Amino acid sequence: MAYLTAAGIEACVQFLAAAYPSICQLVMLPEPSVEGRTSRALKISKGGGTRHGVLFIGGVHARELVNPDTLVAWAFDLCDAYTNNTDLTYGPKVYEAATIQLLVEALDIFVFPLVNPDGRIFVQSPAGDPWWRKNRSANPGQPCRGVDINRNYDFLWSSGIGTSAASCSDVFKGAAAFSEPETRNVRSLLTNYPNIDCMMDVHSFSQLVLYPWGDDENQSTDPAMNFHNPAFDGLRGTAGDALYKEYIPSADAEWFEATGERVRDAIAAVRGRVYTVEQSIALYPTTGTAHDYAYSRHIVDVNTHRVYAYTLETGTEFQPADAEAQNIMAEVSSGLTEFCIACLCILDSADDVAAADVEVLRGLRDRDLVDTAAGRRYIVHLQRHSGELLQILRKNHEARDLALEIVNRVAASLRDGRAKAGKLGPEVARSAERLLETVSRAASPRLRETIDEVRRDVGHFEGRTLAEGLRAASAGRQE
Amino acid sequence: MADRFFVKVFAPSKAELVQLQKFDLDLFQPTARANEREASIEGLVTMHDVEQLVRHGYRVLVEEESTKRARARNTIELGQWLEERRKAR
Repeated sequence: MAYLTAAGIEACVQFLAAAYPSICQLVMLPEPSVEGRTSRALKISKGGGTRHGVLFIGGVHARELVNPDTLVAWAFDLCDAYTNNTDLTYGPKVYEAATIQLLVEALDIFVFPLVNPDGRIFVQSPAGDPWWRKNRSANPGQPCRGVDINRNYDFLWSSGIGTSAASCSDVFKGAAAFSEPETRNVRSLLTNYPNIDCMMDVHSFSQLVLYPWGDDENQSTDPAMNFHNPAFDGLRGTAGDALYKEYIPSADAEWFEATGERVRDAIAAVRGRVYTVEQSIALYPTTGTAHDYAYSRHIVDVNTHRVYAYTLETGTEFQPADAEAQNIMAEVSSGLTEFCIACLCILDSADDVAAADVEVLRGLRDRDLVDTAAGRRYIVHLQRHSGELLQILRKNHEARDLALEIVNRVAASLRDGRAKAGKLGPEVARSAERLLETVSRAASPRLRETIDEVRRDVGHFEGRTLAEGLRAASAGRQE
Repeated sequence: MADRFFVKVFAPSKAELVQLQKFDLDLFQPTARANEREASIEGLVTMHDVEQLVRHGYRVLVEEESTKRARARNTIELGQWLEERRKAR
């Protein structure tokens, strides 16, 4: 199989929307490309309500041909498997039909496969350049065309770290942050769909799963030392020095690493290629990139959602030959599916829990749990194992009933401002023990290990309020 | 446009590899690697660039002339693509 043209990618997006109208919706991007082409994304989802969104973008760098094809192929696989209620299989890696149903019914999955259509056309044209990277911006008054879209986002753009102000450079950052319609289109998706809280920007090449930050090494001890603080201007951009490191909360750093490892393992399961999971700075600092911008938005504007954003560097060359391209498409598709599972929140599919109780429980997670060490540990566990837990609860009615019973009792103890007063009786502890036992029987070794750890905490909650139980569990771990 | 070549550039240290940024060449940042003995990065450059790099003390392995890896014009129509996709599923 060869590569689709830019028109072919666009036609495929429209085909999917037409062929699977009950789950696929076309999303028109607001701005035409530099050369006037309309861009469209797909939204794949079934059902309504508040749900998490996952955004995949590709084709940012024109010469990296395999990724737009991969994204539309994966979208096709997902729609086809959902519609026919079949498994999704990539080599030996199998995602069960029930998992695919869950993804489509619990998430909004956005696929924007070709951010830079003009660049792809230039790459595929006989008169063009097969190794062109940037968009086709005319750059008036400058000697060369094109802006590197992945250096044009508003993340430390003015610092110039890892970018160039010269139009002939392959990392030319443009005349201003968001000077390019292609970057503005990605921004519009993040802004218009505020439920997007996971994102993956698919590039080539080097077999990497990269997470923020790109401007300097990460640290989790000094929140004031961050990209938003002008006191540190001029000190960023050198890996290995002591002058500056970029702040990332430890819970986020753990999520990025753990989820990156899941994506890595899902890719490796297809044919054994082991991608490296690492912070994106590695050796070279970068600014103005999509994943740093997406993740930084909630820090710049507290009214926006946090977006866990990655860059995936697929394969070992820009334009792999047919057979290798097929292999890459399969292994990356497995990684994309796993990423969606990792982005599921256990509350997303809590159909049987009253909406008011879901809000109470979200409050518990977002406010009360973060106050204690044990609570923060539970958040990480939940984030790490949500997908698997959801699959077990969907299949096992006993576990589901027990979980609902516990959820309802906990919500009742928290509702109407009685958070501090409602004590958890021995029946909750008994139900929790039974639930953990039931789930453990169906769990992977990794989840079972976590369950064993949580089981040791259950006794701390009996006869106490949740807040007291969390403090006791935190203290118990320190003893 | 001059012929371009896929290359691997070697430097004796991480710091010297990072210094390559000043040449503003088409080097692929995600491919940068370093260990205690050596650091390297892949790129797409002209022979003139190779000479310049060597002059500055870098070791350059020329892997292949760029057209040999260019498959951009090997394209497929959507109808055929879908047919192959269905078969693959």
